[in-house]
Amino acid sequence: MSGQLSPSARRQVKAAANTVSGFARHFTGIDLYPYQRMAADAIVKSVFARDGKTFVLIFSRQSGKDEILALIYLFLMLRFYELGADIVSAQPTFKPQTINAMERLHKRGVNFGRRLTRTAGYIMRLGQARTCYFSAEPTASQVGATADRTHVSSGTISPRLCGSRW
Amino acid sequence: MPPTRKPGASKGNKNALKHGIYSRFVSLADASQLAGMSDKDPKDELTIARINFKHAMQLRDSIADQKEKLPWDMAAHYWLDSIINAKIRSKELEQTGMDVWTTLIDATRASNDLQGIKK
Repeated sequence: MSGQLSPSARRQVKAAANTVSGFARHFTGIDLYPYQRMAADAIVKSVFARDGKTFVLIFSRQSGKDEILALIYLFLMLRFYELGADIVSAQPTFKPQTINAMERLHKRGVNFGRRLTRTAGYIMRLGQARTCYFSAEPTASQVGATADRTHVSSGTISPRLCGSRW
Repeated sequence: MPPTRKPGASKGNKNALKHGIYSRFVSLADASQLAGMSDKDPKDELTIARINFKHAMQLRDSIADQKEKLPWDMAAHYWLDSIINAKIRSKELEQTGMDVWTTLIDATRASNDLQGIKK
């Protein structure tokens, strides 16, 4: 089946499966900035190695923090499409941050077509991999969310609020 | 009393000039509708072609005179061709999408094996 693609197209598809930057460029049409690429590569490398490292990304406003997270989620979901993985993503509030993040993931993964689905309102699923979005609002009640690959908190979340919840 | 000005913009004023090749032909209302249309699958175009085909067939059947029937018959043929072409194109796009997906999953498996990623 894959023999019908041109050699150049096949190269691009392979590059998309290999690195986050390749995925961003060839699958979503976004060229990552060097500072985004460095952060994304380090995070993905750590996830693959399962070394449990913690990363704190401090970028200025409008520099592509949430964009890079969406691309990392999609790339990891692709890589674990058959193997299965759970990613837990915490946002400061449900509305608008969580909704925006889910919308962004859906928009960036539009080329996955119907394979990328949203279930139960807060889970984005691609094959056996899924990303669960949670709100870290003081009024939110989250239990039983376990990440076997990555656990990402976006924005400004007080450690006191999410310390014992996940 | 100051001299009265004619209403409207002065001669040569380009404040309302719209740039781009299509801006002269596409109204704002049309542009907003176009934005909602898919540029990947030809579903909308297929719907238009089917409606036009149906109208051409209805008109052809409602006319008794054979000579007057002919243009509508040709129109029906034209729209039928359009429908077939759109369906073939859609099938080709679907096939390309499947090829890309198969290659992507194969490449993912290869990368996972290379990097020793397991469940």
